[in-house]
Order: sequence, then structure tokens, then C-alpha cells
Amino acid sequence: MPGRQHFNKAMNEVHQNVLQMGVLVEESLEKARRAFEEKDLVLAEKVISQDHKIDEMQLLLEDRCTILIATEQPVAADLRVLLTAVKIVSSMERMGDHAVHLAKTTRRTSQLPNLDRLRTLILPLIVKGNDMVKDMLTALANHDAELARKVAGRDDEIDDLHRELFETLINFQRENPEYALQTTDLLFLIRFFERLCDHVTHICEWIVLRETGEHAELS
Amino acid sequence: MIQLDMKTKRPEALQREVSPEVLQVKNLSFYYGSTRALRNIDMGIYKNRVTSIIGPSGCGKSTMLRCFNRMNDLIADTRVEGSILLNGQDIYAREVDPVRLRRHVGMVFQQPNPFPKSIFDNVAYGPRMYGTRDKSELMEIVERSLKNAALWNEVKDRLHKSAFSLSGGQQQRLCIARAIAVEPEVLLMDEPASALDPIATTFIEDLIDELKKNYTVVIVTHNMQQAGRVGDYTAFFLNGELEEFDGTDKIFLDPSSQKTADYISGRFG
Repeated sequence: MPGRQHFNKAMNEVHQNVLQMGVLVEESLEKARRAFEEKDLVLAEKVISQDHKIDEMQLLLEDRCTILIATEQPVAADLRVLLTAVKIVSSMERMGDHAVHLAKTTRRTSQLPNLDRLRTLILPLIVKGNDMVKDMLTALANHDAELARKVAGRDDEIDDLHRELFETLINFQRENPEYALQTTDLLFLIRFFERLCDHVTHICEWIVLRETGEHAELS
Repeated sequence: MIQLDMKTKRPEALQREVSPEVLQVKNLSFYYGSTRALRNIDMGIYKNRVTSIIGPSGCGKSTMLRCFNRMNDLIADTRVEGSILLNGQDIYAREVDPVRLRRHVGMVFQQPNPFPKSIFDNVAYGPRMYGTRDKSELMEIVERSLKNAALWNEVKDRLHKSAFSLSGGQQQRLCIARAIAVEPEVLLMDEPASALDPIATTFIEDLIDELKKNYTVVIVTHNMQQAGRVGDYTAFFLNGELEEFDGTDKIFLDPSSQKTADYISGRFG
């Protein structure tokens, strides 16, 4: 008879709930990407109105982890799972906010055809960011520290892409001052997606710590 | 808006409880001679829940537990004021027979205390005492009780061996099987794991979690962590008073009383 059945069940629920929250974030980012690409304002509004679900899940999971730490005295791997869960859901919540920002940027820029070229240039950054999120979730679900390290390794590529886009946008802004406001919006967007990938990298570091007990500096 | 009864520190968490109170303690005081060991206790014990009683030595927690099935009657020169209701009936009423009461409110002690009899006879003892003679019926009761106490698989091939051939942890589960053989409503446990090693303790704690499906459990423990792990509710006793009673999550995260906070965080006691 394995010991602490009640606690084991609670720990398994925490793991499942963290994954569920991750899936909500992934779906939100994917919808925001589609809305941006297809100029779908209805879908963008959906992303904005559904974000509260992600926020609620963060609070719920933080409370659950705190109660388990206070009442069950977790040690070793159990303690790492709970502490990293708190860190991971905090990063996920921010990632959800970035999906909302992308949706709001879509709302503000999609009706201006002169920005279409810039939006097309930005799209690969969003796609790559979302791909990192998907693979990070796979590592999280499969307790795969090796995959987490690999996913985090892709952050440099994102940083390079961000730098290139930054220059392009600044140049466009200089040449088209009448679009200063919208270009600034897009500058924020690429900055936020670069941050999104930093959050993914942080989560990958927590996955490595959770699985191996080692602090990994992956960024 | 949830109203708090500040006098009894009646907890917010209990306002949400849907389960009925099996036991109701009403303005209970208890005396050993002239010493007042419990002072004006008011609390409820909820059906199919685990209630942990914690507090420093001498706070009255074991006295409180023993009041629930009148075990204190066996101690000379003791006196009770106030009342305890079991399903609405005062257990201290003149017409109540304490022996019959203990059939409804069973008890497990700190030290495993099997009788010097076989495993089978230990579990069959209570049912026999209450009149069950039929062998197959007794066998059914013994098997069911041992299964509910998570001991059956370990002893089914040696039911007629002495209870003393079992390990300490197994003996304690045997005592739990003996207590539940008479199908009590409430199971009182006085430090049931304090004489056991960590693995046997885990077995008992898992068992308590299972037992609450069929029984209402009240457990006294010195081990605060154990209260955190097993209790749905926690009652903190101090100097004979109920300092705080609330959901275990609330007690361990955000107790209302500074004294509770100090005790559970190891700052006194």
C-alpha cells in the first residue's frame, strides 16, 4: 500500500491543474495569433474577455499550493513540485496578459493596410513564441528536463528576431511619422513577445529544478 | 455576510459546513476534584469529518476527548457541568448507560492495547459482548472490520494467532478494527500514532482518511503536522479553554488568535 494516498492525490491534482492552466494560456495565445494574422476582431475580443479564467486559475493554484505546504509538510521532490508550481503559474499568468496585449494590438492596427507589411514581418516572431510555449508544455507534462533545456535554448533566436524587427519598425516610424502611434504599439508588441519567451525560459528553468533538483541558468 | 460569534470564536469555515453535528458540546466544564480542567467549552463535531484536537500538555485535550464517551467517569472525584449531545441526546443524562454509549462512541488509545487473545477474538470481542453468537456472522464482522482497518491482507492467514505476534503498527490497526467491529458512529483516537514509527504512522493517517467515509473521527494529537495532514477541522485548546476552532486550512494559514499562531508555528508550547 503506497503511503499518503490523500496527499499523493492532491499533488497529482496540482500537476494536472498547472497543465490545464498552461493549455488555457496556449489556446489564448493561439487565438490571439490567428486574430492578428486574419484580422479577426471578434476572436480578438474573445481572447480579451476570457483572460479572467487564467487569472482565477493562478489564484486558485497558489492557494492550493500554500495550503498543501502549510498542512502537509512536503519535503524533497514534493516541496520542489509545489514551490515551482507557484512560480510557473505566475509566469503563465503574465503570458496570458501578453495574449491579451496581442489581441488589443490587433484591434488597433488591423484596419490600417499600410501596416500590413510590418504585421507580416512580425508574425514569425509570434509563431515562434507560440511554438516555444507548446513545447514547454510538453516538457512540463512529460517531466522532461532535457526537452525543457532545448526549448529554453531557442530564446536566442527570438532575441535576434526581436532586434531585427526593432530596427525595421524604428526605420518605418522615421519614414512614416503619421503612423508613430501604431508603430509604437507594434514596438511594444515585439517587446512583449520577446518577454513572453523569457517567461517560457523561466518556466523551463523551473521544470529542470523540479525534475532534477538543480538550478539551471537557461536565459 | 457571515456573522462571527466572537464569544465562542465560532469559525467562518463551519458556516459553510453542510454535514450535521453528531456531537454538540454545550458550555462544558470538567473538574478533577477542585481543579477545573475544561472551561465553558462550546463546539460541534461534524459527521464524516475528522476533527483534530491540539494544544500543549495539560491544556485539556485528552480530557475533552474522554468526555465524549464518558471515559472520565472511571476516574474518582471528577465532575461535569454543561452537556454533550449525541444526535441531540444528552450523554450525561441520568438514564444513559456509559457502556452502551461507548458502543456508539468508540475509542483507540495511544499505546496499542490488544487483549491477550487471538487476532480474531480481539475483533470479535465487542460484537460477542453485545450478543452476537453466530459464528458465520462473527466471521463476517471480523473480516469487514479488518478490511476497513486495512489489516485484512496481512492477517487473513493467521487469524487465530496471538495479537501480540503483530508489529506495533499492526496492533494499532487491530485496535482500530476492534473499535469499529461494533459499528460506532464516532471514533475517538488519543494520539493513535505517537508510539509508532513514521511508516506505521503514514498507514494510520491514510486509514483515518478512509475511515471518515463511514465514521466521524475525533483525534487528539501532540503532533501539529499530523493535525494538518489528517484533520478537516482543528480545535486548539489552551489552559482548559477552546482558544480557536476552525477549518484546518484556516488554522494553518491564517489563524484568528495570536496564541494559535504562536503554538502552531512552534513559538510556545
